[in-house]
Formats: sequence, C-alpha cells, structure tokens
Amino acid sequence: MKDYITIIGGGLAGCEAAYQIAKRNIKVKLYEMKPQKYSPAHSNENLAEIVCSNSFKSNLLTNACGLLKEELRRLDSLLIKIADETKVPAGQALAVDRENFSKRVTEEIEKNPYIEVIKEEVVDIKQMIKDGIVIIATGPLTSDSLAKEIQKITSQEKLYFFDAAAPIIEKDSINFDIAFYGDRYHQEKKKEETIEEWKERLTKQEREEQSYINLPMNQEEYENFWQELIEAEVVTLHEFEKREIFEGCMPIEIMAKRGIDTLRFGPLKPVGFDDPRTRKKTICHCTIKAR
Amino acid sequence: MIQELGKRPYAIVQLRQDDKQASLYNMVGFQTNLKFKEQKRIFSKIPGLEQAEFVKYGVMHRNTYINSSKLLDNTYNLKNTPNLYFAGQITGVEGYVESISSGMVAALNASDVFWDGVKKHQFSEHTVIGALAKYISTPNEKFQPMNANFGILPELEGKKIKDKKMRYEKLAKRSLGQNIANMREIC
Repeated sequence: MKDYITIIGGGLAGCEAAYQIAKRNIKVKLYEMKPQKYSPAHSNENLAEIVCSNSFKSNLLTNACGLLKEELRRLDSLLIKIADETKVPAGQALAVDRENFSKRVTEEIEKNPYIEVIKEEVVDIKQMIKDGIVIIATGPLTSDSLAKEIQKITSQEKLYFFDAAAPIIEKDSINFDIAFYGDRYHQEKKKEETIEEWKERLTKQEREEQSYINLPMNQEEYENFWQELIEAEVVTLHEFEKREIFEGCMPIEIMAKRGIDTLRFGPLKPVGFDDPRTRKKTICHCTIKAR
Repeated sequence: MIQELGKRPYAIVQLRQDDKQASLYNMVGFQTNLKFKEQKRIFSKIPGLEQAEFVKYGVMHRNTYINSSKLLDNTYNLKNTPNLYFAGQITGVEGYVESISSGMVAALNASDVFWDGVKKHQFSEHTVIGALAKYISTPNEKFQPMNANFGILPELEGKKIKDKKMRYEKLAKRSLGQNIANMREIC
C-alpha cells in the first residue's frame, strides 16, 4: 500500500479533501492540470478557481445551503473558513472576492507540509488505484482523456452535460438615474417599524448598501426585452455535446421561452421594491437624492 | 428622505457585487448561451444598462458527472472499488458548498480507511452533509445534479409545521443539535 493518498483535481472539493487528509497526518499528492492545460472556463493558475458566480449562497440557517455551511464550519472546513475571510458584502449571502479566495486557498495548500501539488494532467487512474487510495475531484469540466478513463472504470455511457455563467458589468458604466442600490430582503417594512422609520431606513440603505444594484422595468420595457431575448441568436453547440440543462443553472433565454411571465416570477421578480422613477420628489435640497 | 414610495416595478433585474472593491457586478440569474454580440445588444436595452461595459459575457460550459445513484455509496466511494472515491460536481452534487461537502466526506472516510481500514464517517441524513451524500447514492432512474435543499432531509416527527421558516428552523436545530455533536465525537 502507498504511504499517501492521491487526489486528482485542485478545485473546491479537491482542496478541501487535501486539507482534511493532511490534517489527519497522511501525505497527499494533489494533481492539478493547470497551468499545463486549461478547461474552457478556467483562466488563472490558482487552485480553487471559481468561475460561475462569486456567491456561496445564503448564510442563514433557515436556508439549506446556509445550514450546510454551518455544518462544514463545525467540521473545520478550510474552504468555508477562507470564504468567510474573503467575503464581500452581499446581504444574507456569503459572496467572496474570487481572486483573493483562490489565492488564499492556494497559499494554504502549498505551504502544508503533508501536501505535494503536482501540476500534471492525470490520464491513467487504473494504475493509481492498484495500490493506493485515490479521490477523483475533477469537476464539471473534466478533461476529455480523463473523462474517457472514468467512463471505462465506471462503465458509464453518458458523462457530458451543460451549465452556464452570467455576464459581469463595470459599475461605473451603469446609469444611476435609473439604477438603485438595495437588498430585496431588507426592503420590506418590518413589523415594529413605523412608516416614517421604514422610509428613512430605505433612504439610508440606498446610500450605503452596495451589494445589490437594481434595475426596474415597467411593463412595456419588460415585454420588449422578453421578445428580444426569445428571438436572440445563441451559440451553436458542438456535435458531441448533448444538451441537457437543469434548473440550477438554466440559461436565461431558455427560461424566457417557457412563457412571458416566467422571468418575472423567477430571477426578475419585482418583489420588495418600488420604482424610484415613479416616486414624487421633494424640492428641499436636504432630502433630494442623486437621481 | 423618501416622501412617498413609487409604483412597484413590473420586473427587476438585479446585479450582485462581484469583487471586493465593488467595481464589478454580475447579472443575477443571467447565465446564458447567447452570442456575445447579442448579449451586448439585448442586455444594453435593460433600463440603466444603455452604456454598460461588459467585463465578461455569459458563457455556457460543459458539465460532467457520473451516475452516482448507481455507482457510489454514501461516503462517495465507488462500489466494489474500495480504493476509489469521487468528490465535487462530478458526483452530481451541484454548487460550491455542496462540492466542498462531498470533498469533506470523501476525505474523512479515505483517511479512516488509510489508518484503520474501516470507514467511520457515514453522516446522519438529518444533516445536510449526510442528506446530500444519501441523495446522490440512492438509486434513482432520473438522477440529476442536486443542490442543498431541505427537501432531501427526512421530515420532522410529529405534526407538520405549516410555517416554512419555523419548519426550517427546527430542521436546522435538529441537524446542529444532536448530529453535529456526533460528528465531532467521531472526527
């Protein structure tokens, strides 16, 4: 038997596994194919690079993902600890500074005396599992050659699917005559608040709370947008890539095609806000807002 | 100060802070496979984004996962192959935290086997960690990737609590109370 455990893939799962094993005084060989080879979504040399959203979702215990994070904290998860340390404001959610997060994980893994990081693509698993324990954590963008190897070992036919990432915008290019800050879930009036207190809190919040920017649409704007969206041209997929999409990461144009109101009841729901463009403005300079 | 609230908008597009300096924002829920020029053209029609600079366009990428419901046990160990574990999204858990959770479970059990030859970390299904491990390893004809959610936890005993928040609070308490204590003991 080998005197170490092999981990293939230096993403979130692989790095957490490496840390936990090392913590139990076992040597780890952690294989990562970057920078020798990059997946279509990855672009820097760090371990634990995150490419979809920067959000680790809710931190509330009344949210299953929030509860899961708390369970992991209690098990001394390295990655959740670093996510906590590199968080950016995001209301009730735990969102991280991507760059900082993966940099910190990389440092922790590389300085661990039990862990050896080997920057190579693995193609032969069979040999490795003959006399040692192996954890395959190669993620949603597993390289083709390794995917074939996994298919062989597991006698699987189907391994490929799809998911998607959202566009990112520079804040300075947003028109704040229309856009406004605010966290949907803080917007509602609290039971103990008077109307005046509530209005005051909203005003203050729109000045200070910067984790969400909101872009209101009226019916006409929404319906035009929807029309454009469902008629838009999409990227042609490769022959070999079979298209199967699941709810968690469904492309917006696919969701839109389900019906004119689907987005309004999904990611574009207007709940919790009023449209500042329709607010009556006062003349007193002390209360005028910059819009 | 707001004098009077305006009308409720018909729809809201939300942008979420993406970096520490709050200079970049991602479009919430806008994962997309539209061509880049189409993204520019159509998303610029959203009120407020007429002049928006797109730092990155949305992309679709491939996902790869095995049929864990047939292949793995609840320690993410390949059945009949004691030396091989899987972790992360390749197992059909979906999401960052879920990936970390699977890495945790696989690592704890692989370490157990390394030292004593026996897996000791089969987490209670009352925890989200355990419920996810159970979900992916339970036979399922239509196996699909799964996020953490309360639907995969066993129901509470006794009369069903109608209020969602109260129900979730109880489920959280059940997990963190008794079971995490057990987790600690065996760690």
